[in-house]
Amino acid sequence: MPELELALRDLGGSLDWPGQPELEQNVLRRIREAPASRRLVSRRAIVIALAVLAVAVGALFAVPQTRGAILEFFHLRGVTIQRVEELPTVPVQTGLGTFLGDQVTLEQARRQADFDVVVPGALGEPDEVYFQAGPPAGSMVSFIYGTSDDPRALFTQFAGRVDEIIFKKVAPDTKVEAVTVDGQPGYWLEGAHFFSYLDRHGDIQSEQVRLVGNVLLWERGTRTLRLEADISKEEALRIAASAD
Amino acid sequence: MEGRPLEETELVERAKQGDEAAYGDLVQAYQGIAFRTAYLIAGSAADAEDAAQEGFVKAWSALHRFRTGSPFRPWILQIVANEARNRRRAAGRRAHLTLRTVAATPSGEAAPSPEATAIGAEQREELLAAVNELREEYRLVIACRYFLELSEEETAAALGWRRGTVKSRLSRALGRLRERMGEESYA
Repeated sequence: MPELELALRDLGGSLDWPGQPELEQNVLRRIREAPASRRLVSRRAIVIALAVLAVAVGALFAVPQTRGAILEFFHLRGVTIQRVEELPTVPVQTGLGTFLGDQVTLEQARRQADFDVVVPGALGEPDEVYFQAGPPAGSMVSFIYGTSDDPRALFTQFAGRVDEIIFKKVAPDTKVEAVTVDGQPGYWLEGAHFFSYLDRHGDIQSEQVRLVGNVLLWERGTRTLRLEADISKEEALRIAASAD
Repeated sequence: MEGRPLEETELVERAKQGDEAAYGDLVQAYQGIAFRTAYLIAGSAADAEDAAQEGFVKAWSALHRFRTGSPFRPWILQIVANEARNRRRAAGRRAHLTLRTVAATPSGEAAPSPEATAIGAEQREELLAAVNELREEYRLVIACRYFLELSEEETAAALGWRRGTVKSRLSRALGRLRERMGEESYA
């Protein structure tokens, strides 16, 4: 090594650095102090949690290729959840994009939907209502609490006319727990997630959306309901039971 | 001087699974180099401590993006250095950090001589003064490569430059130092 570089290294050894702070305890304290759900979201993050929600035409065959082996399946009416080894990596976009369809009033949604629209009493009247008439999936109504750019909760209901309307992938360590709501089957999915979807023309939209938190999916008559929020399982079940 | 723990890959893997103790070990292993890197960039010890702490907290949240098996050090340095730059910007600090030597003593007194140094104390002070006078980017690249002994890759990660930029700036910075120190000293 040339002399100058040796001299610089030597100089580096005799520099007066400020005292080294002990960071470990503070870092660990801050990690532990993070609210449990946030921690889950951030730690498991987003990419590993839940992935693909595809709505509409022949969803099962039209969704992007699964990477890695499929480890497990869970079924609900209109919903397939696959546990896979590796999730697709997706770019993030805030807000809910065009997945929800058109913004309407609650009354318009009630008129247009081909099922009885329920409102989760525990959440009250939604801040925004969206309607999507996506054949062959049947219609879909979504309620947003908060705003579509910054949703606090998303509640979706749709008629499960075909087997596969919603298609999800979850990572090996995402929690998927069978639950019952009013005696009907459902699943509790813990972890943040992304979804992509097929639009009403059957095209896969590449926009991937980061949502707010954990998901409860359950059947109710001929419909499938879906609640997503940064809440505990108990809270989600309480809200689900209040849907009427 | 911190080494790269042999079990680093395993610690990272365990931390990814949520093992806080394993992450604590990683913090222990890299807090020194992270703090000093932040100090060079932020220009104050308080901001550097802040940046390093924040960087480690954020890195924990971002661990899922870390590719298992790749070296952890450049990754954490990049995150901490970003935090440090943000703090420096927020503080609107213009004047750059002036590095000093431990041995810097009032004139006339003999500096305690560390074991087997390559250059004399006086020459060392002269060289440091020349480094301190360099423009920011040259000073930073010299400090990262020689004072912190970061690799080229780590320097690029910490400074947010491409490796080619690290190379070319380093070469220019050395050239500038040679000019200042006089060609005959460091040919």
